[in-house]
Amino acid sequence: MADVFGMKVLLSFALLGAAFVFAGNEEKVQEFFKSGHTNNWAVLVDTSRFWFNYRHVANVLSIYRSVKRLGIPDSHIILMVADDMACNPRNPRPATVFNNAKQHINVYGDDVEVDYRGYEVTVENFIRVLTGRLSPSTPSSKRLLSDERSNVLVYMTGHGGDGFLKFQDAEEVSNVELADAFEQMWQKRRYHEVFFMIDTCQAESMFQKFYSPNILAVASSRVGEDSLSHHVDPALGVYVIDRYTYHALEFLEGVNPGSSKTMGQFLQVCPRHQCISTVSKRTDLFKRDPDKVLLTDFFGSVHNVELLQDTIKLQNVTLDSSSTTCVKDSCKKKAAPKQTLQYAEQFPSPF
Amino acid sequence: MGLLTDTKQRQIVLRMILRYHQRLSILLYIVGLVWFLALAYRPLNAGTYFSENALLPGLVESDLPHGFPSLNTYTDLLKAEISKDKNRRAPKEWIFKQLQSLGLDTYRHNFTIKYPFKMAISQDLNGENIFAILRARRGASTEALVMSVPLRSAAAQNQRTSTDGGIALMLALASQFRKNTFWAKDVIFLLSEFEEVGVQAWLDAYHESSSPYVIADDLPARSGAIQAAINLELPSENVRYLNLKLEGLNGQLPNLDLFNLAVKLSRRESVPATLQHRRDPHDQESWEGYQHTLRTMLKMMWTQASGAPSGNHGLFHRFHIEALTIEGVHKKKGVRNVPLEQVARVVEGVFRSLNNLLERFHQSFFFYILPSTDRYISIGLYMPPFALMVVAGVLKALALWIMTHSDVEDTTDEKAPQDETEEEKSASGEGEQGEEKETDDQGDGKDKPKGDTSPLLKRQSSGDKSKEDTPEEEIEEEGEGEQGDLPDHLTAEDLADLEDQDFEPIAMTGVLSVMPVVLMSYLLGLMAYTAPYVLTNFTPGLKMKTADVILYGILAVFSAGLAYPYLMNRKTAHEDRIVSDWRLVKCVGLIVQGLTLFAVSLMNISLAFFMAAVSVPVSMAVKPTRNIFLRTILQLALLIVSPMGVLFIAAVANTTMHNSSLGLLAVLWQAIDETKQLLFLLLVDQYLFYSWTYTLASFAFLPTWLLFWAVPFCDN
Repeated sequence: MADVFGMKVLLSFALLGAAFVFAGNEEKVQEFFKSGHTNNWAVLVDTSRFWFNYRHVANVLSIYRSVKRLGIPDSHIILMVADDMACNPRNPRPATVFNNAKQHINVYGDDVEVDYRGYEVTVENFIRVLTGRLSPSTPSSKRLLSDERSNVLVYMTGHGGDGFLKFQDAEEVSNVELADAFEQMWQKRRYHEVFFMIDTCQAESMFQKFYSPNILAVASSRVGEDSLSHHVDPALGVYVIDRYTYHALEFLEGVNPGSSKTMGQFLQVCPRHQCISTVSKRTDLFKRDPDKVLLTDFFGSVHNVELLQDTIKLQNVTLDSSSTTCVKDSCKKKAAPKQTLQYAEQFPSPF
Repeated sequence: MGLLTDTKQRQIVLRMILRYHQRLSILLYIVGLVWFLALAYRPLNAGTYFSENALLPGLVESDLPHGFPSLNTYTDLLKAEISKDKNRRAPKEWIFKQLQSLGLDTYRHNFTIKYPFKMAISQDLNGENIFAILRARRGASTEALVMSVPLRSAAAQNQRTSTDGGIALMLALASQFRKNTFWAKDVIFLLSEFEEVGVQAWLDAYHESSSPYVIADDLPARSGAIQAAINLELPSENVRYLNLKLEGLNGQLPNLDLFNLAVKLSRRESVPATLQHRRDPHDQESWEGYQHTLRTMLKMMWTQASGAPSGNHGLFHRFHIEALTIEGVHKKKGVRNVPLEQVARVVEGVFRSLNNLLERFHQSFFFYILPSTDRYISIGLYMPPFALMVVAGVLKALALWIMTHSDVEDTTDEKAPQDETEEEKSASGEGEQGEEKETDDQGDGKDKPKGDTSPLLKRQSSGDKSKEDTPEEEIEEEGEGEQGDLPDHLTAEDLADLEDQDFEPIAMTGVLSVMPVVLMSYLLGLMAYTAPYVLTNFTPGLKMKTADVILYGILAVFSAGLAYPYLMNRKTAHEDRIVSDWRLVKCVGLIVQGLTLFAVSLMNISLAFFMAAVSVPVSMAVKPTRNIFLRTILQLALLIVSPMGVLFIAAVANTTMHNSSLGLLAVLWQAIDETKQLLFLLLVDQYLFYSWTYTLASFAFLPTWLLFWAVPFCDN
């Protein structure tokens, strides 16, 4: 099992089969596998509806646009949008959503795949998507099919308070529930690392209860602070984007798939004079140094291609550190290593 | 709880009430009144703000083209049309065609007014409203907004602003709105005839309710639930400022958010907005500023207290539709007038904000008073001082109740009433011995722990005796006037029934003993209520004006009311005589007054406040006395605070408000005419629009007042 996985890693990252290991390439290889993830997922949630919350829809669609541009495909994005602003009768520009009064980008342009919309955006559905406890009939486009090698970006926006985030004007998710959901994900090996990003009032409170490993979190405001909107589009008569997301996007627009910008830089986005609220971050659960983590580890799905002349010896990252690395051929000869990883039961199996 | 169960503590409380109630109730009243009036002072009230975040007021920029040429076109066309008509009436046919040519669903709505009284115009009056519905293209047509303009003919424009500008503006905005794609709600353009009556008919038809006097045809088409309505009274010239009228039927007010919205948008378009035609003072914290805001507040309360709608918007409130009137005021002098185009932008902005609404207005206040356009006094702020004013009377009632029931109490309390009486005496500057409290049955078989109270008791009982012996003091000082009516017989029977139970008049101390008086006053209230209808039915042959018939009819009933204490005190057989303890009458009166005022304050705080301000002090002071001078003063004061008196004062106030240059006599003379008019309007409002003011006056204020009127006639 594990060695099969090891092969997968090899296949996906070093597709050009003829690879030989030489000592000089050691550093490059280290660099290549530094992040430890093989796939990227994004869960983007707008929890609030109504015309006057246009900005939240614009927020989430802007992030959606960025992660898509940086390479995460629609199949790996779960987009939850609680209201349909493009078709709201109050929208003087039907079928568009703009995140800027200058209307540079129609973020509701071509090819937007909303997975959960309108009243489907509920706390229950959100938690089920994260933890994978969806009914068997749920189509795979609505599932977060991540695994222990997935880097997951979770972006949330809406109206929040100290310790909760409101969903749909009717219910809310608490920070404890959210922390437990992440723990469940961790126990079920549904992620490798999580970048949690939230733009709401008192946003910091939402990640304070997290206790699961490998989570990096950033929030637009501290407890007791409001997150503010950025500007109004006078032609629409609504606020079109929130400050934190606006500045985060400004940063993301300068990032391309091969960029070497780091998460550390991203966490510096939107200082107090721009946001008016204090951007708060949590790095204690995250094992790596954010300054050395590429932004594209979370915001993109980068399939590096490195052409090497030599065969390299790869370490099997899924096995215990004690176990020796092996090359494609030599692995088979060895006895199957002790299985250290297994998935927790999700649904009781009928068989 | 301890207060009620622990007898010792209760005694202390009772003693405190008995000892201090006089001073306390005067203090409460004054504090309440001063506090209430002080609410207009800026630091004591609160700044207005938007509670409803769906409104997004003023965020959207105007869609109207620069100069708004279609407005000018419509204004000119309308002027030309009006000049074609000899009577300079609003050209309904033309307006209808214009709306139709804009592509709106345009309809006529006919209604008939049946006059409630057999008035000079015996024929029914036919009216016609015009309305057009702009269907929201992308919406579900489940909600609607109304823009209404009254159709006024030149003849009616002497007193009121002309609405030509409003009609032109409505047509211009209709053509503009038609082009816009963002409507989530239908917009109904309503042009109503005969002012409020037309609106009433249309609303009745829209909601399929009916009225016996305004008979409305079925509507040919309708839209969804109406969320808000804006009524426009705009002249065709430039306006100096926009006056916002809020007061609706029965003192109902629109949600404060709607008012804030109108103020905010007029500020944005730099059109001054006023309340009661009064601009906000520059420095509200100064003494001048306070005087200014206080006057604005009182003016608003004055309008609200009448219970009559101050504009066409007032009828919408009945159906829980938030509505206000934007009245443009044109001043010939001065150059600071703003063109109608700016007003159009204000109205457009208001409608675009209303279009954003997701729910009915519910976030902000429905009960408030406004001292200026940017400050408000909520129900939470004005209720405490008002309650203090009314509680003053209730406290007095409590003290009186304790006094009349002092036999139930521990006799240690005996000292207290005596103290109180002395205070009363010294306060009124009167030293008569006959003024003693009637502490019935206290002498028999009670042990007195305090020896020094016994002389007092003797004196009191001797006072009682002497009273029993004394014949009636009040003998006809005034002619018995207009009586011999129905109620006299009725009550005599009723009272006889009651009296049968107890032959010793002085022994009747229960609440039962005042029932005849209470019953009597409510019967008179019923008479006053039905009098206008009955009288106008029976007197078509008199060839009098209806307003006159009503005034004199009501005056006759009122005089009967004035005379009823005499009638009840006529010399009859000793055992049949109705002797009511005046304290009990007053006590019941004060309690009923407190109840009434509190109940009214929840519907119409202004009416309740004015009634409380005038009636509470008089009702607290009223008592029987042998001093003719004092009694005359008391009766005069009572007459002034009677419903008729208050109506007359209101008429005087209205007259002086309208033309301040008149002399005193001229004012009084005009006030009589004004009273007649007010009374007539009250009744018309009652019949046509279901206004409660007259009903309240006849079933709540008049009976309560009659109870107090009876007090000086009681034995003391």
